[in-house]
Amino acid sequence: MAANKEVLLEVHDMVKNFGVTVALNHVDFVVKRGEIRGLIGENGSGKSTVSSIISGMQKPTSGTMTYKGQPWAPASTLEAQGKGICMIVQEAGTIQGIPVADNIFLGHEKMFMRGPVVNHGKMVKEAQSLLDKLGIDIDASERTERLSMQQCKLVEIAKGMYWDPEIFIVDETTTALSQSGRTLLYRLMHELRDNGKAVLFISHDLEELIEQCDAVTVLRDGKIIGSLDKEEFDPDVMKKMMVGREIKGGYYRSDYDGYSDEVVLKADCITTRHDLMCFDLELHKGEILGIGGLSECGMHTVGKALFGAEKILDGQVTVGPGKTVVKDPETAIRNSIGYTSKDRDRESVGLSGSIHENIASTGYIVNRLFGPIISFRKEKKYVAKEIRDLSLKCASPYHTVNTLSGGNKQKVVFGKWIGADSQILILDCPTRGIDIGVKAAMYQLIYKFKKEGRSILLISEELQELIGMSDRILIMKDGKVVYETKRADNPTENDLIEHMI
Amino acid sequence: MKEKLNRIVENRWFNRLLTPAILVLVALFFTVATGGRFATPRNLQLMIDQALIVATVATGAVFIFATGNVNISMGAATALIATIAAKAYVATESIPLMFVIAIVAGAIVLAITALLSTALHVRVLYITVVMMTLLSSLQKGILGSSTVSLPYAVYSGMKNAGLPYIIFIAFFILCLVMFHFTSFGRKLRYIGINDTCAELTGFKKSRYLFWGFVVAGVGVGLGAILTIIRAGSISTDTASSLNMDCMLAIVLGGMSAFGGSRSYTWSAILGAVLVTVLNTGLQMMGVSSTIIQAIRGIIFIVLLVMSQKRPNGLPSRDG
Repeated sequence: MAANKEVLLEVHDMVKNFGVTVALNHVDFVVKRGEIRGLIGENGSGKSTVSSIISGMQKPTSGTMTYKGQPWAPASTLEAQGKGICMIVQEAGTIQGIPVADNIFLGHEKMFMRGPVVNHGKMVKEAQSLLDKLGIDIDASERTERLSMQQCKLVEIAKGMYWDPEIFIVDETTTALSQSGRTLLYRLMHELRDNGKAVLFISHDLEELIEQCDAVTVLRDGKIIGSLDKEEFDPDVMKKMMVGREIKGGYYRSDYDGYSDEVVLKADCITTRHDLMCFDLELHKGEILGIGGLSECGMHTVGKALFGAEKILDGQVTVGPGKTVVKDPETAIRNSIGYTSKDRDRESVGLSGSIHENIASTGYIVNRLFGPIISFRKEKKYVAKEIRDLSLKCASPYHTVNTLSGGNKQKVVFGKWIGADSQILILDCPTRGIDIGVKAAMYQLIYKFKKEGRSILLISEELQELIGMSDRILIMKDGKVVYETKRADNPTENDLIEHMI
Repeated sequence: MKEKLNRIVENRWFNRLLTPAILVLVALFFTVATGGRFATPRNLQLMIDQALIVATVATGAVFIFATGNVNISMGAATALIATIAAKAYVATESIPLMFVIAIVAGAIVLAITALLSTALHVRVLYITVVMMTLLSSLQKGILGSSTVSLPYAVYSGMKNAGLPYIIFIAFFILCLVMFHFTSFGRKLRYIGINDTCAELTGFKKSRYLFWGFVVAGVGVGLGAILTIIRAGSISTDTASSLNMDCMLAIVLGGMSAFGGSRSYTWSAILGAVLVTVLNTGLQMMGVSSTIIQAIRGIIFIVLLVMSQKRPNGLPSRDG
């Protein structure tokens, strides 16, 4: 059956690099008419990258595509839309503050032009009839910010469906949808397939993929690992294909050293505005505590909340033997907590500032000469020490941070908190976007911290990293810890994924 | 060759010595162009008197600009405080009281600006747009259609005692130390570099913004006193171009218009002198005041563009 299907799109030898990071590594694959193809893989495996290239959001570093027998190199999403390739993106793809109809026809206002003005009434009418046809119960003249997250996604789906797509790409959309929304999306996907179109479906939910897809392609680290047809679907096989990479010797720590019983940081039934509801956590002295889960499981909020950077509505975070309550970053830092954010460039480092300014920012108190006066000499030494210890590659400490590579930027952030001699480090995705060499150095550093008796909370989307580094791993889902395992139990990735999804 | 040039431009000292060099060249040019009239002792004295006011207010304003914020109500605030202080002197005939009132009122007015911004979560710029109108109508309300004057003996006595120099030097040294030798200035700069990151490094933005504005407020108060000493009387025209002079001075002095790393107190002095030299020199060459305004505007825009290094995109602090 699969053999007689016409090939609609072919991706050939595609490479995409973001700086030193290789997102796609010579990828080849084919989308055929009349199929729903699932794309699966871990975070950062390249699923979203390849689909965004197909839909014209970005351009490949090298490689070619063929669509309907013609070379395919869309200049923009609008061009792709016009030619029949539409994508529903993972992040919010609607603009607030304008009516639903305007979102649906964003960039295509010309269709409703009468002379120099847009006939808005006609646009709303057209949008409404589209929504009605698809069975989506939304008023097209409603302002978009009044819609729920699910409704926004449905608007995006409608926006894509208007163009009668030949290839419909659904990227991680179902997490924002409830059962009714999903049913609607599945129905549309099946209708498209039955009409000889193709659907590219990206999801973390294996069950959903198995139920909805005709075939899946597995990506890992920017490479195609293999494809499976419906008959070959098996959750265990798929999981293994997704994550089963070999560990190089010496990359992570190999010991089974324990940690002290002393609790240094404690979250006592904390509730935040988003994500967390009566969340408990204890971090011990000398412990590397790993937290894993899907990106939106609330683990990033945990890191922020423990550092006092997220408003805590109920419950409290206490630090140290004195049980000081952490209310804001200032208290956290005074109690020797350091925090590196997942969003490094925006939250952990001042890009336009120099390396010197960034690292010295945590040393204003220790670098004093007398009274409030700062010693320039001490400050210089303070910065030089971190640059040396972290082997930070820079021509001068007075160069701005935005001239550095991702790994060296992260070293600046580490330098800030090591310089401050933080005893508790909350590291949110510390190796995100960092090449292998620096990564290994980071792992060695984290292990060194542990040996020095510091406590580390390692929040990560990479399971290998958690397994390789942590004394204890917590897996979170929907803002709760659903699974806990110890280093001594030798957890495997499959164990952890089991509880994540 | 190009690389060599780049290295020179990126050198820390290049930026610091550029403005003094320009200043000398511009002053020489005007001296030649006006046939020496520019460099007469009387003219130099007039320029120094004017530059002191700009420098005082601008030095305080560095504490605001460093955080990446812009305050366009400093001129209006100076005029208002000068009116209040002059009225206070007329009522009490006490010079110390006039000083205290000017400094305290200046600090309060600017502190309110900062508090409004942080309490209402509105950007400083928008608050100061409102404040500018509010303060200037307040001044007009207090002053009415009249002017308020101090007795000649009083203000010329203060002038002859060298009080303007003492006020400025004391204030400048205080600011220099606070800004460059304590954590206060470094924290303000770090807020200017990246306020979210500063917050996550433990520098509460609302608190440091408040104290930065208080320092600027003291500068405004002292600037008001200097205005009184210089003119002897206050009218609704007082300090009308002061705000633009200050903003121009800060960027002309080599500081980035977006604050952050490249923020220096000495920019205020260098810039103030340069602005005054430009204003006076152009005037003496017979350029009409409207054209001078236009020239100032153009210089400001050019410097604004130069202070963002990013090759394309809208002005941003992340450059």
